[in-house]
Amino acid sequence: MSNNSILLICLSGYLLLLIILGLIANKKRESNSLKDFYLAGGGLGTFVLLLTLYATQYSANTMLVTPAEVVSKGMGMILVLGYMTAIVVFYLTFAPQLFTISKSQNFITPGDWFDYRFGSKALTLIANGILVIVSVNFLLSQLMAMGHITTGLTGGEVPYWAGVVFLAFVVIIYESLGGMRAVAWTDVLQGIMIFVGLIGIFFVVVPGTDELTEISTWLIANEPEKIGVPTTDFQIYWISTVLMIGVAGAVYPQVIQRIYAAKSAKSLKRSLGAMVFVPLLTVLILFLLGVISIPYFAGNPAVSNDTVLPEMLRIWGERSSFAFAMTVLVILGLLAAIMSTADSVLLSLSSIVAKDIFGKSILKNAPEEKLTKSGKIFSWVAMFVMVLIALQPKITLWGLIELKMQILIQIAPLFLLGVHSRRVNGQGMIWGISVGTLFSLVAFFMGKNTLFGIHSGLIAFGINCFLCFLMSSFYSKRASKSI
Amino acid sequence: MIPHNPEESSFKKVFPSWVWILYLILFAFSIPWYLPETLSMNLVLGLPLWLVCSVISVVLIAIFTQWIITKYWTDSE
Repeated sequence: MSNNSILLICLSGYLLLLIILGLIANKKRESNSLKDFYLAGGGLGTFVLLLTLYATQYSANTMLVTPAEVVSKGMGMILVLGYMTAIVVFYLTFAPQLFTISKSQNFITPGDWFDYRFGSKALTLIANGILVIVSVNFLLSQLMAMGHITTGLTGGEVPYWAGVVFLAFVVIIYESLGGMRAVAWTDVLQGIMIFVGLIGIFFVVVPGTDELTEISTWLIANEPEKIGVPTTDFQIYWISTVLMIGVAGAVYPQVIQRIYAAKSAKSLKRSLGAMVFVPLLTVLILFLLGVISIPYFAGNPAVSNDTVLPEMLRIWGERSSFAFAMTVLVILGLLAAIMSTADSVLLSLSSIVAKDIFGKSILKNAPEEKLTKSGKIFSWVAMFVMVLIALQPKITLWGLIELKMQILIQIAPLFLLGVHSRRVNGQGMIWGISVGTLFSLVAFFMGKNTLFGIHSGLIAFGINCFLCFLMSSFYSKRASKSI
Repeated sequence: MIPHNPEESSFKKVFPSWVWILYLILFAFSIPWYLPETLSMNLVLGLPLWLVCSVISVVLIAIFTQWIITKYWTDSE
């Protein structure tokens, strides 16, 4: 039996297991309410919460891009470790307060917090519009990754289009069967697979000090820019990236909903306390896998960034039967990372559209069951359209990450300032977010991802926060004068 | 406008201010601006010292985070 056949059998078993979990989650549902479907009834305990946060946060971007960027840009890409840790730190700036309020007010979507804290329909609409754009962008990057990885790992035997279509189909099946319960349970399975897969492959190819010394010495002699102390310009980029992805990554709508879905403060505390160590066990391994891949790609600039890890897995898998078994695990883990992120994004997108958009317009006053059903139908339509777009890939994954983060960070003041300052109000927020988003979009489409080495999205975030305070103060003074 | 009156718990301070200053310092040390060129390229466990220092800073951030969560984030709901 060929390696590809074994891989395809394991893959089929894994996909079947996901659908079975979706069916069980469907049986376990307590009602057809929005809270039950989108937050699993708000009862996720520490273990499930930790693994669903892990599987959701560690996406195709992290898994594929980290080793690829180490190969192409060098050891400075250890900055990924910094920003994945910063995301957890930024959770702490608002998660404790948000969790408490979400339980007392029965929040389901991020829009519930915007409504509750700022009381502005226009602000909620603008913020939800941004979240929808970001989620669509994120979902698209996951679908493209599904295609890249299946074709890369099977040596082209499974074409790109088949990877996208088939995996997307499985995701939409289990997601619409069991909602958050199915997504969280499959995330547990997927989270364990990612973790075991990475640890497994690391033990197969674990670099000794001698191997690392050899690679470092070779780099110093041949490609010193990949190992030398990062230049001042790169250090500025480093700070900028850690801040931008750290802040933006903490306010993904699917992550906000996991804060709402926590069973208790204790579950949330324990999960976040464990999550902060996860980058050291995941990103650091991906980084070292990237370092030991460098010699394989020396002098070969034509290699695509998105396919470095799949190609390396094929090479490592040929070493022994045990190595092959480990690469199968990591391959399934990679697919798990992609699918677990895609399902969470889709579920979150569906909840925003069903509750905050349909529920406030065409389905106003409709029963919750009808809103839940409309959300499921939307998920199918959205997935169909996204798959069609993903079949025409024109941009690398890293480009997509940068675009969505520059826009997503503009939402962060709603949480960061919203829980810490009584001075900010809805009108001020509208000014800040609108100008910040416009600035980010104009800069992105002008090809100005960075200005003076700092991400234009981060500069826009600074302008955004400044305007939030300035215009909030202006409107407060005007209101008090009119009284 | 939607009628609203956020509860006081929306603004409850959980962590003291010095925590964020310490985070700033720890993250600053995860970026290798402070090491002299000659020292930073010494290989430790096969990797340059600047990289090892960066990883150690992140380890310290993780330990510190775990500690402040346990110490300051109370379970009141």
